[in-house]
Amino acid sequence: MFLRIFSYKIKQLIRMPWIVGWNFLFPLVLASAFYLGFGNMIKDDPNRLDTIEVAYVAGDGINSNFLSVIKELSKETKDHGKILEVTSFDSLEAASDALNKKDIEGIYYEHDDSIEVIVTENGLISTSLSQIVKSYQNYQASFEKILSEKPEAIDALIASINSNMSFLKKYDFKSGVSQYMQFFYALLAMSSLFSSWVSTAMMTSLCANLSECGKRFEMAPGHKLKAIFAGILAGTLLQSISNTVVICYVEYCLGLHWGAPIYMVIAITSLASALGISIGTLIGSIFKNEMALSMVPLAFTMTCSFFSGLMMGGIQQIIKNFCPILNKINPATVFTDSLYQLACYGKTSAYYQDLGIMVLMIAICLIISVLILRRRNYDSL
Amino acid sequence: MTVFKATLLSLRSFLSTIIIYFLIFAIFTVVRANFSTNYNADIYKDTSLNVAVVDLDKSDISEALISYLDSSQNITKLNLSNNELDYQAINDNVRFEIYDYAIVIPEGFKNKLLSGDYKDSIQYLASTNSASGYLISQKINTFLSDIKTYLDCGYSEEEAISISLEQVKKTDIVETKIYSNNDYKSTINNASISSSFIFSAYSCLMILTVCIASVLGFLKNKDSRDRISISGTSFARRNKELILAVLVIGFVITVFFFIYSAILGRNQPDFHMLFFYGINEFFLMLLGLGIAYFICSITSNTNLINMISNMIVLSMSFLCGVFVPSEFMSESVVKFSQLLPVYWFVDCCKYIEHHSASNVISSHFIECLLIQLVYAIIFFVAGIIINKKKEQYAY
Amino acid sequence: MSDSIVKVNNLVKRYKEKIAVDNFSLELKKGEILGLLGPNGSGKTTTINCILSLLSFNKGEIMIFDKEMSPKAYDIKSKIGVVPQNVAVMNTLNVYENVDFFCGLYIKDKNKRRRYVEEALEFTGLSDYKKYKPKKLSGGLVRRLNIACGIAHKPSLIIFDEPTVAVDPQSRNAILEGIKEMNRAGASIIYTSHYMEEVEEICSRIIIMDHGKKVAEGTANDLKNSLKIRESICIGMPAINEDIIKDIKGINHVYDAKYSEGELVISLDGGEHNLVHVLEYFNEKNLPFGHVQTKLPTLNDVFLEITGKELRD
Repeated sequence: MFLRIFSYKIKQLIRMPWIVGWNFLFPLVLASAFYLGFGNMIKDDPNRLDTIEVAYVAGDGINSNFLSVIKELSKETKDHGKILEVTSFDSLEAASDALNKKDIEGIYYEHDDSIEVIVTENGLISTSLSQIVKSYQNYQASFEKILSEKPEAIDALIASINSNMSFLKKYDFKSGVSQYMQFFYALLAMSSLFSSWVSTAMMTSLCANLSECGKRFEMAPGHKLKAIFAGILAGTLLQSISNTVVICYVEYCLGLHWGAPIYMVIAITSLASALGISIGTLIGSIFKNEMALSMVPLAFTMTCSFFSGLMMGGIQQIIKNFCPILNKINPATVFTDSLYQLACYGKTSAYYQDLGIMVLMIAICLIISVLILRRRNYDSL
Repeated sequence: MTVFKATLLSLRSFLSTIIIYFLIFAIFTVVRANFSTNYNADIYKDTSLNVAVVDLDKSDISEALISYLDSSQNITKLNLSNNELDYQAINDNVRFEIYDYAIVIPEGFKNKLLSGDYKDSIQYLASTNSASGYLISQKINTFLSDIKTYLDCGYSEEEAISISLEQVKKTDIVETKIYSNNDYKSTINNASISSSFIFSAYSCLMILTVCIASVLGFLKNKDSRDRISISGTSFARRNKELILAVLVIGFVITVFFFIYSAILGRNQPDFHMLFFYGINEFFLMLLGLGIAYFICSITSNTNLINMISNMIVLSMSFLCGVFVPSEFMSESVVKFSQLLPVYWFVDCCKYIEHHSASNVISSHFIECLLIQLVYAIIFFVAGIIINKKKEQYAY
Repeated sequence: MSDSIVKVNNLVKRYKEKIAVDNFSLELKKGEILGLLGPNGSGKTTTINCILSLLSFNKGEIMIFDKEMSPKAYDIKSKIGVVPQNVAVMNTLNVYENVDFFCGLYIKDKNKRRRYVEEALEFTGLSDYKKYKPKKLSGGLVRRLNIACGIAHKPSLIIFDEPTVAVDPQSRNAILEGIKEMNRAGASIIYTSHYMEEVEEICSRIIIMDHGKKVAEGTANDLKNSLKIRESICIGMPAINEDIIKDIKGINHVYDAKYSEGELVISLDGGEHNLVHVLEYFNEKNLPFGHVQTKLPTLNDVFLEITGKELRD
C-alpha cells in the first residue's frame, strides 16, 4: 500500500498547476532574475577596475603636475592596468557637454589651486576619481613640507615615494565564493520551504477533518500514518528533484559556482526539502481552515526567507549579532548557513551543527504531527 | 452602487491574505529601514563606513591610525587578544556587511614599520566586490606611507604622527559635484527618504496585484458574473462601478504605503519632497492595477494569482534596483531593466532624491511617470485581449 | 454469528452544549436496506460518522459484524463501503485512477483489483469515461463516480448518505436500480435521503430521526398505517352549505371534511368502500360534482406529520 500511495501522491502533486508553478518554475525564474541582477558581480574579478574615461580641464589655463600624474595613470604598467583614459578639454562647458553625452565618465576641473571632481552620479567612478586626487594632494603636501623643512632629506623622500609602500594584505579564506551566492542559497531555502505547501496539499486529501476525500480515506482500513509517510516521501522526492533542477541550472546554465561539490549541495538541499515537507505536515495537522492551509505556508516561507537574506543580504548576520537563537530556529537560515559554511570554510563544526539542527527540526515536526494525527476520530468534522 | 459595494465586500474574503501580506511587509520594511542605512545608495559614496579594528599592537602608531580612521569612519574597536581572534567571525560580519571593512594590526607592527619590514603586515577583510574596501585600503596606505616617509626623512615619531594626521585631514577634502541636466548638486547629502519608497515598490505592487486580481477573479467566477449580469444594472454602469471600486481599493492600499513610507522616512532631510514621491507612487498604483488586471485575465485561482504576482513583481524588483541597487548590475542588465516599468519608478525616486523641489519637475520626471502609465495601459490592454480570446474559445 | 450487521445502542453525541444524537439506537439486519430519514440537522450524517468511527461519541455502543467498531478496527472497515453525501473524489486523478486508488485501500491483489475496478465502472456506467478528470464530468457522472469509489471493493455493508442529491431522474433511477442489485447480491445497506419515494421504493425498513432522536421505525406500510388519516377523498363541486359538511362528517370513518376553492376534501381514518358511501350520499342529496379523486397517505405525509411542517436549517 505504501508504494501505491507514494506513486499516486506523486501523480496527484505533479498535476497541481500551482505546485508545479511555485516549486519548479518560480525558483527558476527567480534564479534567472538573480543572475541578471548580480551574475556579473559573481563572475567578474572583483578587484578589476575598468579604465575610467575622464576629462581634464585646467581652469586657469596652466597644466599642473596633476595632469602628468593622471597621464601616468593612463599608462599600462606591470602593477596595474590602465586606470584612466584622459582627454584634455579647453573649457568646462565642452567637458560638461561630453559628460552629458556620456562620452566621458567624469571631469577633473583644476582651478584656483584645487581640483574638483565632477561626475554624473555617485558610485565607484566618483570614489576612484576623488581618491586619485586625495593621493595626489597628499603626496604634494608631503613633498612641499619636507622640501621646505628638511631639504637635505630629498633622497630619502624620493626613495620613499618610489618604494610604493604597501602595508595591507587581504586575509583570504580562499573560498572564492562570491558573497552574492548568498542570494542563491536563500533562494534554495525559499524553494525548499515552499514544499510545505506540497505537504499541506498532500495532507488535505488524507485527513477526514480537511476534506471529503480525507473522510473516505480514513474510513478505509489502511494505516493512516503509513500513508502520510508515503506522501511525505513523495513530496520530498518531488521537491528534491525541483531543487536539483535549480541547482544544475545555476551551476551549468548560468555558470555560477555554488562553492561546494554539486552533489553535496543537492544532498543538503534534499535535507532542506524534507524539512520543508515536515513543516508543512505539522501545519497541515494543526490548521483546519482551507485558507490557512495555503496562506500559512506562504507567509511562513516568505518570512523565514526574508530573515535568511533573500531580499536583504546580510540580515541573518545582523540577527546573529543581536539574537543568535533566532538564526538557529529559522529553518531557512540554518540551511543557508550550512551551505555558506561549507562553501566558505569547509566542513566546520558550525556546518555539522546546522545539519544536526535540520535533522532535529524534521524529527520534532514529524513527532508532533504524529502525536496530533494519531487520533483517528475527531470531535467534529 | 450594488457592484461597487459587492466588489468592496468581496475583498473581505481575502482579508486574511491581505493582513498576512501587510504584516510580512510591514516587518520587512521596518527591519530593512533600520538596518540597511548604508546598503543602498551610500555603498560607493565617500562617506563614513563601518570599520572594525583589532589592535594587537597597541602602539602610538597603531593608535594614530585608528584615530585617523575614527575621524572619518565609524570605528568599532574589537578588544580581542591574539587567542580570541576569530577571522571567521570577522569575515562573516564583513561578508554580510555588518562591517564594510575590518583590519587586524598585528603585534609588533610598530617595530616592523620602523625596521622597514612592514610589507603586507596588516591584514584586512573586505567583501569581495566592495569598492569601500578599496577606498579604506587607499586611506590606510596613504596615511602609513606618510608616517613612514616622514620617519625616513628624519622626523621623530611624534612629529611624523602629528604631521601626517594633520596632512591627511587637509588633503582628504576633494570637492565632488554631481552634474546632471546642466544642474549641479552637492553630494554631501546622503540620507534620503527615497530608499523607503523604493523598497515599498515590491510590497505595494505585491499587495495591489494580489488583492485586485483576487477580487476581479472572484467577480469573474461564472455564478457571480451571471448573477450580476442578469440584474437590472446596465453593462456600462456595472463596469463603471467596478472600475471605481478597483480604483478605491488601489488608492487605499497605495495611500497606506505612502503614509507608511513617509513615517519611516520622517527624519530624512528631503522629507519635504514627499509630494513628488506621492505622485510617483500614484503612477505605481496604476501600474499595479494594470498588472492585476493582466494576471486575473490569465487565472482566477487564488494560488496561481499569488504565484504569478510573485514571479512578475519579485523578478522585476530584483532587476530594477528595488532590493539591490542597479549600480551593482552590468550595463546590459540595466539596459534590459529599462524595458521594465519598475525601473522607471525607482529611477524617478532617485531623480527626486537628487533634485530640489524647484527643479524636480522636468521632462525626465514626466517621462518616468508616463512610462509607468504606458506600461499600465499595455498590461491592461493585454488583459482585455486575453479575456476576449478566452471568451472566443469558450463557446 | 447473528444476522445483525450494524447495531447501535443508545448513541449520544454532543457538540459542546448541543446534543446532535440523543440516545439513538439502530439495528441493520443481514440483507436489509435500512432507510434513515430526517430533516436537515436531524443527526443522520453525525450518526453515520459515528458508526464509521470518524467522530468520537459521548455514550453508547456501536457493533458492526458483531464486533465493536473503533478507528483501528481494520477488519471491519475492510467490509464497509461508503458513499458520502458530498462528492469525495480526487480532482487531479482521472475516473479510473480514482476508483483504483480507493479500491486499492481495500484490495491488495493487483489482478483482483483491476477486475473490481472494471466491474465498478461498468456497474456505474462510467466505462466510457475512464480517462476523464472529475471536473470534465457532468453532475450525474460525478455522483456515479462517487458511488463507484465507495463500492468497487464489493463491501458487505454499504452506507449511502444522500447519494442522489442533484441528480437527474434518469441517473437517479440507474442509481436506485444499482443499489437494489447490490442488495440482491448480498450487501446490507443503510440509505439516507430526503426523497421519500426513493426510500419507499428501495428500503425494507425505515427509521425517521428528528432532533437526534428516533421518532418512528417500521416498514413503509407500518408507518403509513400509523397515520390518523388513512385516506383522503377530493371532490370538485360548487359551493355547499355547512349542513352538508356536517352530514358528511357523520358518515362512517369520516373524521374531517373541509371545503375551499371549489373542492371538498374528506379525511377518513380507515374502513372500506368509503368512496361508495360518500357518492351514495351525494346521489341521495342530488348534489352536483365534477372530478373525484381518492388519495392514500404517502411516506411524505408520514414524514411531515412526524417532523412537523415548519422550515428547518
